[in-house]
Amino acid sequence: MKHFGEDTWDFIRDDRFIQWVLFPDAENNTWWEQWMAAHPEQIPVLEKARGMVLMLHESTPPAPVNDQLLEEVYAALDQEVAKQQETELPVAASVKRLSPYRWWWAAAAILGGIVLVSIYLKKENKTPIAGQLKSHTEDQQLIRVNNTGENQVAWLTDGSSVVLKAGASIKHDAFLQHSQREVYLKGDAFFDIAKDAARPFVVYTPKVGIRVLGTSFSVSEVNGTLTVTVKTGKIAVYNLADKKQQSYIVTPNHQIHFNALTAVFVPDSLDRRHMEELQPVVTPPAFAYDNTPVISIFKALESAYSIKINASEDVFAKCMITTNITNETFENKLKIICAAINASYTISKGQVYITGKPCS
Amino acid sequence: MPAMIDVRFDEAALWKRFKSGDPTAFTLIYREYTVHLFQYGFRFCTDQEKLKDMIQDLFIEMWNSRNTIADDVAIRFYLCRSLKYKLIRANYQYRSASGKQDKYLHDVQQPETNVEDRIIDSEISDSRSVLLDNAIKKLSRRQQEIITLRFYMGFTNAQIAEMMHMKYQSVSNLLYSALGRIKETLETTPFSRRLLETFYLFF
Repeated sequence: MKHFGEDTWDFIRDDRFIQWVLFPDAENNTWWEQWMAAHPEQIPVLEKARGMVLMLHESTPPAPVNDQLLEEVYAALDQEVAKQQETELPVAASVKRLSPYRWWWAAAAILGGIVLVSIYLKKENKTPIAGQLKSHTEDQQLIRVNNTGENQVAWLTDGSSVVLKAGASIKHDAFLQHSQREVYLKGDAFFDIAKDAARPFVVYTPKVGIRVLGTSFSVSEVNGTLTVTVKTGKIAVYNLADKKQQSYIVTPNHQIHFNALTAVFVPDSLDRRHMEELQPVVTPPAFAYDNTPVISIFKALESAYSIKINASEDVFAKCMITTNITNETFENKLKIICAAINASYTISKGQVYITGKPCS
Repeated sequence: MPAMIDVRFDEAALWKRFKSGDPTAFTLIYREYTVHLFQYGFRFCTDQEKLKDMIQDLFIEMWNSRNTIADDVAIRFYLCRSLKYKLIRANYQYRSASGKQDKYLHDVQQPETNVEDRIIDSEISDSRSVLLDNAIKKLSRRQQEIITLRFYMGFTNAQIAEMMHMKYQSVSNLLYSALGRIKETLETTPFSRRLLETFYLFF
């Protein structure tokens, strides 16, 4: 028998390794990060084994399952549950609750099998208070200004978020529909960018362009010197006036200063104290709801994304849902909610319109 | 990338709720795991209607006997094992991956074209999985099963041993030989060898 990449075998036969690669969670991440820190020389082999496992994982879905068939099973079992509930619980206790059947199916349809059902994650009925941002539209672009004295979160429809420091503002296409996601920034902000390799994210400050290759970073300006600091991932910074747009790559725990007068980039690294300061004071709110009226969810989305959502209070007053859509893009959030209440949405002229029937 | 990473079910909590008779927990379980049961069951039984009935029965029995089922259960493993026993009792034995199942698969997949054409057309990552798919199809049915159980389902060696009725040590041997066989197949076409070397996989 010929041997495959021998060195990876110790990983591949390790149950804990397989669990981590296929089902990473906070606990096993920590465990393996510590392991890697203790065995840095093994990291290349570990990465190789990881690649193999993932490739095999992707290659081995045994057979695609016919949706029709699944639906039949769900319908039969739903009926069984309903039947038993009737006999065991004569009192109709779950009137308001959305039929879990419909909800799951909706989510599955949207996410193609990636399901985020969390009926029991959040106990309290909290509506996230998103930004108190002032917003208006200019030249078909959405402008959002933080006039408060505190940090405020601005959500973007692609799933990214921007923590705007006091006085900062951003301008962007409300739905970021173009092949490049572009945001114009004035003032200081912390960006957490959702990965989308097909659509690069670019932040323009008046003088400097920041092309985002990875995930989170802050931008601040003091006395004409702009400082870009990277927390995670990788970014490329370039002078907008430079015709060749020669860019500088900035990696985590590093920052780069740009002086507008001298037009020179100066790289710098950070100590721990500075890194801690970098953490935004405001954590983006979770979009997690437990039996919450959809009307108030729409309100929360409206204020988080600065996008008007037109939904009739009369029609949807009785619709309640339970869901966690924190990590979804704006449109997926809409899709999940609409599927759950059997409504549909349209986007027109920068606004969202929800149509549907009242919930019983 | 494997799906369902960001939000995973807290299995233990879900199981506890299921055992206490919470119908929502039960609903979550069957909506989550029915797909896996079909995927697993197709290896034994290509009669979809039969399989569907068995899966339904399995869940209903599980719900009715929730009081007596173990407290500490890896749900997916428990379900797959139960389905396997059920199928065996009903006299469904292993079947090879070719034959009816392939016929069924072809309804869903794209029509089989020249592999090289597909490679040229598709992205590198896609072509890698095409090659790997073909190599896996050449494995024996036991080898195919262990590859699925290990890398698709993510079962532990001990779970695989129980599921496939083998000694613990034999699990390693079978897995090792399956991977070796995959490499052997991949090496037979120069193109795939080059491709895989680029990614340092299997070599």
